[in-house]
Amino acid sequence: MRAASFIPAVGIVLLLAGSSARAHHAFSSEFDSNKPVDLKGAVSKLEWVNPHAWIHIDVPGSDGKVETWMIEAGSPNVLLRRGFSKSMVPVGTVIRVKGFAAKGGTRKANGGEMTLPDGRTLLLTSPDSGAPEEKKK
Amino acid sequence: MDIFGRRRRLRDNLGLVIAALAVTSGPQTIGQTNGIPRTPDGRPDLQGVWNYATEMPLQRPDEFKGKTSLTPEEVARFRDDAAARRRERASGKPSRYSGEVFDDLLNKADWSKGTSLITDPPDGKIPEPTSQAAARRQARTDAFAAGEGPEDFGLADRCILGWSTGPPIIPGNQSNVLQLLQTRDHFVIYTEMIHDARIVPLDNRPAPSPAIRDYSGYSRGRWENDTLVIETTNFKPQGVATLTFRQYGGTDENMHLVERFTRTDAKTLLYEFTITDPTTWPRPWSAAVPMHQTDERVYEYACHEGNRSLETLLENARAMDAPAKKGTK
Amino acid sequence: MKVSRATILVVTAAAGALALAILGLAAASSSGQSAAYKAPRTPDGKPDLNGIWQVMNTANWDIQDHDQRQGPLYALGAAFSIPAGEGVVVGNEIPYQPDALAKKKENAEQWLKLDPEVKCYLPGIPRATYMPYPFQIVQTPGHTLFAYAYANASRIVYMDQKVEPQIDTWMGYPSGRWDGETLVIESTGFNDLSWFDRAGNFHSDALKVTERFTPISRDALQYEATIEDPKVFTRAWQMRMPIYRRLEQPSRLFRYNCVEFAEEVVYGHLRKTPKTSR
Repeated sequence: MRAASFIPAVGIVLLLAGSSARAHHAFSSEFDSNKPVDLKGAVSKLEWVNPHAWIHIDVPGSDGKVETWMIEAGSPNVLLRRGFSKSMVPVGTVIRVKGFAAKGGTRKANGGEMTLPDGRTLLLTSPDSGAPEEKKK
Repeated sequence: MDIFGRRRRLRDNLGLVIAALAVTSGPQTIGQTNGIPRTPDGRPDLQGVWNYATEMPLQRPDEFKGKTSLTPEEVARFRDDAAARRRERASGKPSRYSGEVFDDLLNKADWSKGTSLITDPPDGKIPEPTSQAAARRQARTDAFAAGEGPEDFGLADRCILGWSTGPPIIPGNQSNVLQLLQTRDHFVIYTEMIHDARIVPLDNRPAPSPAIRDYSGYSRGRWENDTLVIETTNFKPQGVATLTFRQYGGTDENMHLVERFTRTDAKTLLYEFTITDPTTWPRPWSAAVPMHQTDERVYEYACHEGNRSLETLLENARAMDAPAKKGTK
Repeated sequence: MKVSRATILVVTAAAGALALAILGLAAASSSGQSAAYKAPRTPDGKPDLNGIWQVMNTANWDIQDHDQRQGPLYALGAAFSIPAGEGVVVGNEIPYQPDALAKKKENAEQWLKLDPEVKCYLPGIPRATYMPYPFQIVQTPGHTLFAYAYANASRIVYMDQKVEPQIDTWMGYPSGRWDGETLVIESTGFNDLSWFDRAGNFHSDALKVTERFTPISRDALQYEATIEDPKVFTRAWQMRMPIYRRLEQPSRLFRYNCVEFAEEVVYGHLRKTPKTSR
């Protein structure tokens, strides 16, 4: 089901960044647009929770050491209404995620585009694409 | 003895019992007027799951200043701009909305009747706050920027009160669904974010003692003809989540809220509210939000239990405190 | 030969009673009590459970028989130590699988750190019923609301509808129906994060809970909860307890918004200036 049009309504004002560099809106971690990440790893854990779902992936480093990253997705309630459930990324699935790292040095990132093993892509935080098949049940 | 006669009477009596049961155990909704179902006590039945997502903002956009309605061309342009913003967001570039997902389907608004959810004042804007409220707004901004502890963040960030729960109920960007339940004695407004069951007694009782307050205040309701009128007081000083953001100046413990629910047809509920909060705004203001019946469900929105977002906000704040320290986990 | 009027009346009465019995209107509660009490009816003819209710027992401390013992914080002394009480588990035995029993013991030892109640997390079912706070039932034909004072927990029971779990939840996906005088609620779709009490009794995400609420007088219900969880227990088991009506008028549920009181526990280590210890 595609939205014919969309305005974030109150969201525009609610999510105003404001003048402070540290200002953020509710329910979102601060990201750093200067720190893009492109990670590939196996899903090791799913926290399918509100206000944000988190997908943990084990990313092998060039030195062979594995780093675990936490990728932030949107609210499971909204994802569910779009047909995206956690059964699509079971533990062990190797996924690729592009996003932006959170400030503060922790291995957390806002999930942008996620690529599943079969090549389908899904935007974890966009309102435009729902399930990779782009169809509603 | 006439065997057949006896059996016939048995069957007749059984039939009477069944008929009696049918009358007493029938559905609650027994009549309709103008397509609006009514409950056994003759009230409009407001029950169901209602979606209040809308493309119309709370306040009139600056580009529509002075306009109380839009032409079809203006509406089309507005929608095209919105679609363009969505496409940009979908490109994956970072934006202020990164990290969020939004409700897909926003109900179209009737722009011929208004250009903001706010119906009063006539300019469609929240009034300027009092100096007391402006000072409070600044204090909240400063605390928010410093992020010294969890209480410096908004009620929604802390998962104490969801954006849309309020009251008043103001559409947000997600989980714009609520479920209404209704008996003769109680009305329940169940908002998804954050699993909030606001139980409104309908017996005209007075408000509780001012010593007892709730983030959503305490409500009581009464019927005025076919409109359910709910009064809410006893709010806490932090104000309600939607309106604690800096831009609005926030509400406080003096808010007196009146809400009205009117079912205008089988599929539409008109929700209106008037806020009177003299220590925040020098005059009351009002808004109207159409709600549309949906076959969606309200799902559990457990928030605090998984609130890594607040954890991350605090981590970031601590990292900003000590820029020389390179924290790694 | 004509049948006498008296005979007709007797036979009619008997037929009526038989009809009522056949149609299942006799209030036979599952606890084996004889069909004595019939609650007043709602407009749609169901037993009226509307009201504010609360248990009076020590089940939230420990659902099994327990002696009194020292609480977790010496500073709170007698104000927060554990009183003795009989358990609410039928037969007093919880049939843990061996690994699970070890985990229960570990939970009990680390209670302060692990009990979700300390963090004001949602209580799950059936713990929400027997926490030491009231809850309110608002009953409509299609839905029954349970609103719990603790943590603003709540659930809407869909009546006479099969409910498919979607996202794992703390409070389950409840589906309800009437069995005579008894409200029966079946719930699945739980996560594995809630506990049954402060003694570390727990479950997995395979949990299924079947509850029965039966009015036994105007101001009391009999409550039974059957627990099935093949990942943790070797068989089903049951809790049973009365629930009492709060009689204050006008009655109102005052919510216990405890999240703010748990913030120091959850986020205290991220505070800029640590709070002085209390």
